[in-house]
Amino acid sequence: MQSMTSNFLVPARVTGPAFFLLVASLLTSAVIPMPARAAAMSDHQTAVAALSDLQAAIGEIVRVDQSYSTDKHVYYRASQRAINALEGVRGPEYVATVGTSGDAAGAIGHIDALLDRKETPVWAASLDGAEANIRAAVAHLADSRHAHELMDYELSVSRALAYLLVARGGPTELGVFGGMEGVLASTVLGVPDGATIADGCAAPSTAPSYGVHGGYIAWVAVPAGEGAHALEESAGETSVIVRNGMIILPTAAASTVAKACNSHAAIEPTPASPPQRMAANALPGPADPGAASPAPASSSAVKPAPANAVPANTASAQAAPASADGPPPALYTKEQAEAGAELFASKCVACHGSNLQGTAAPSVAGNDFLVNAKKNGWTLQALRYLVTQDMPFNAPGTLSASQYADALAFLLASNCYPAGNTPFPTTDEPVFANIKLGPVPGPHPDQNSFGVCPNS
Amino acid sequence: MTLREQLRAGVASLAPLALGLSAVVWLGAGTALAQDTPTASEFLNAATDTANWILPAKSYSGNHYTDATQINPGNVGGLHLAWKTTLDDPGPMENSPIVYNGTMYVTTAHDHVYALDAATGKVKWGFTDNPHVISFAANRGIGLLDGNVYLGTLDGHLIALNAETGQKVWDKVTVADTANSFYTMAPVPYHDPNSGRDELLVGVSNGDWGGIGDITAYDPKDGSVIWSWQTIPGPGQPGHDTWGGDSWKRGGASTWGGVTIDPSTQTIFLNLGNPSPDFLASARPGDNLYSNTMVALDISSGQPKLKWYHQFIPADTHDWDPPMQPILFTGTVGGNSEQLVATGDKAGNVWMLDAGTGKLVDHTVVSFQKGQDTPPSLTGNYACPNTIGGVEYQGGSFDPATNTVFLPSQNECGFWTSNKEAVYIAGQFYLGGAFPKLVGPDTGQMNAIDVSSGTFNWRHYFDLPNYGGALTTASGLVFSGNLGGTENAFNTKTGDILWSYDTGGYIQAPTEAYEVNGQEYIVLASGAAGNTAIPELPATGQPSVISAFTLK
Repeated sequence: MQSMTSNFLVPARVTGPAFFLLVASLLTSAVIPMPARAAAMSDHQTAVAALSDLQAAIGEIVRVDQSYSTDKHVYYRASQRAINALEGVRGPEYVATVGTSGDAAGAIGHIDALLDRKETPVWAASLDGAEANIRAAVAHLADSRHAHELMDYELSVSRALAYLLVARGGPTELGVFGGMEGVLASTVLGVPDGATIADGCAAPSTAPSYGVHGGYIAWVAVPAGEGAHALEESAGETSVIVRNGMIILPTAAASTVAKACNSHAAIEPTPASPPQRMAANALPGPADPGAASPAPASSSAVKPAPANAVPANTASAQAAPASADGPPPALYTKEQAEAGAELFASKCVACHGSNLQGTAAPSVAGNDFLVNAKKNGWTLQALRYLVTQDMPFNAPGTLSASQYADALAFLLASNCYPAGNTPFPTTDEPVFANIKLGPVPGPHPDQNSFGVCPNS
Repeated sequence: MTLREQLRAGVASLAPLALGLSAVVWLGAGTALAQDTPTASEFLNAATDTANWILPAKSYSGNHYTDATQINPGNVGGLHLAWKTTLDDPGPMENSPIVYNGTMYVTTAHDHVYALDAATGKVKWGFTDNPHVISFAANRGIGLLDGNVYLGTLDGHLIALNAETGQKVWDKVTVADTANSFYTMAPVPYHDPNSGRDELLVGVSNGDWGGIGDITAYDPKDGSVIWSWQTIPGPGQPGHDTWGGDSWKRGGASTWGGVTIDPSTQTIFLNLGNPSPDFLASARPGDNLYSNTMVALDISSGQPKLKWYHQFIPADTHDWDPPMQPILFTGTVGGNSEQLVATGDKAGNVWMLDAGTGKLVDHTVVSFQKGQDTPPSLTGNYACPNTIGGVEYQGGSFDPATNTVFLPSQNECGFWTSNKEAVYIAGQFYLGGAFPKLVGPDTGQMNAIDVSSGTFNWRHYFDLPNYGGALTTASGLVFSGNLGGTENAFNTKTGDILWSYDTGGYIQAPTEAYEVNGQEYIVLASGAAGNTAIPELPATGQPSVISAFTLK
């Protein structure tokens, strides 16, 4: 998370080949259908429209960068069309003659429309941040219209792009609640009009439905069964759970909701955040190269969470981000956990007990273990070190490398970490040092009274 | 109201309540106090009181010896089960029951406390705690004082319970760091004759987890600290230079073996635990005082002062600490009567020291020793005993009639490995290596050591380890439990086994004697093996049981 953030926060570094790599990777998501601007749009529709405008602007920049023109006006025009999509017709930099791939309101117009209300919903902070970054991007895009050399143009536009990526955000990149994608993935703004809304503290009982608590979406349930079950709109879900005939997609907000549910507390929205608006206003102008960096994509309302988990179908430890706060990585296979269960029953159960709560030795799964893991800052690396180094007690080192991997898979499964396709490795992975153990977010309906997930 | 304000208000509103409560106990207890819990003079005379067993090792001397004579070599063959009580908390049973006026207080591995009718075993009340276990679930008993039962817990709390009802009176976190420190020993009641104040003496377990040991006197009224003595000398103190760099900060030397007191000189004798990281001496260059050391502390001034120390194994690399409560006794050496203090260690030695000076009087090897001068290596090597071998924590006894020290020992070997460096992980082992893998057979012995010569009067060899300590009776018997579950009675003079009983659980608790209505009982606990599990015994969980025996 840290290194990713800093890469994005330092626009000067996103140039040259890196710039092209970056924009190339965006191509697939750049074009989405534009909703028509209706007379009275719902909050959800407005938010989607803002994201559309934002992506349209990114698309303009990416497209022109893929072209090879000796006419600098081609580039100027692209920057202007991007500004138009961002600012809308009311923006001071709007130029009607070049047209727009966005709509009349522009991303800023939509965001302002959403924020223009008395109350401060949970998503307000993210929109504040997105707007600040969009305004910074507009400043650099405006600057790019006056570039004399392609290099100057690239410099300005890559800065603008860095801000726009933060504004777009998304749960897999820059923080759970960051930017427009993040806010659509994790808050009620992402619930389509007319969708079934259920209590996010409980497990889903019907599908399709959205589990909501305190303004956040905890999960999205879609019907299981044969055939494709694409969501109406992709909301950036990071893992898929099939349970009770339903496919459950915990959102990036699942951990926040789980904590709120457990403490029986509402999730407090933050007051509108004037500092961020000020930051937007106070951004250095284009003549101050390199001094500005994007405003945080999320406010202090919610502690910025590390980038989220890998998709459920990849279990690469390297790709696994590392936190007890985000949805957990899938680090082992179901087969390993099953083999580990047998091993546990023969080598570990005498001291750690059949329910893993400990008899002569400590608990190794469930509430007691995870609370202490979190309190003491235990990482997966520490757990692996202790198991491979000291266990079984009075016979350490007597299991094979693959048996230790199986045992660790069983422990992860018992602690409600999800299984994946890639086996738990037989050697230490550097990323394990960053994976902090703790209660796994989201509902675990099968958990027993000790907080242990059964492994069958 | 901010959280801080809320907390402050909460404390303020609690204070009058606590004061009111203690006042009620004080007034209401008046006469009942003397019946519920022992008095200062009863503690001083505990050794000769055949009815009650009010300190972990019978008396402050650490000598598991009773004047009771009803059960003797002639009739012990007729000893039979009087009652058996199964307690609902699986785990190793290591506790020393406390018996006072017909009530027995026992504990189980996860800090449950039960008050039993000592004549029938019927449960009068129970208290369950079930705290977070850092490593080894064990509780070695309670302290009985001022109308309360005192309990140290596996998550570093001291808890006071009403001795009559089991209701909680107060509960306080008293360890410095709950991540690596906890209690297994029984709080020891003590009446300071100078201040006239009652105290609870408690040592902390944290030696294998990167803490620093201490012995602390707590106020039984509220758990506040009266004095505390840290087992590792800090900067500027003598002995600090026996630790390289900052290694002293996680140096271990915990105080888990019990407290022996000589009330006549107001001296306490403590065995201090191994240095940590346990298996990597290069992480702590030096002799590592006062690890693996017996210390004598003068507590007559209200602040403990070191009188003498005797380090058994400097710069230990095998977790070979002296784990038992020292035995303070007057024995005969070279025809002279001398005050001695004896202990064993996990390396398989028995040490006899001059109680006044700490000078070595005699040294007897009681276990098979091998590879003791070679530290564990990265690739591993063999050494004996292993960490559950040698002399373990349930202590022994001295018999004045035969001038003999009785205590059990084990022959167990291990394959040891160290690491390149020690990694501190809060709440986990801090070892710099691994506990040894058990190698070869695991056996035990019962030893009768002649104090005048340091040689064996007799030895009895078991096929299994013998962790049950030793209870000597004035009638000429020694009782001890074998890990396999059999409780045995030996003839003190010959070592012949005169009586045996299979408890059905694994024994690693001491044997005690008491009387109810003039009738003598023998009692001990048995349960699961825990960290003393060996390949020779099935690993299946055994129930936690208290067994009492009598003649009639």
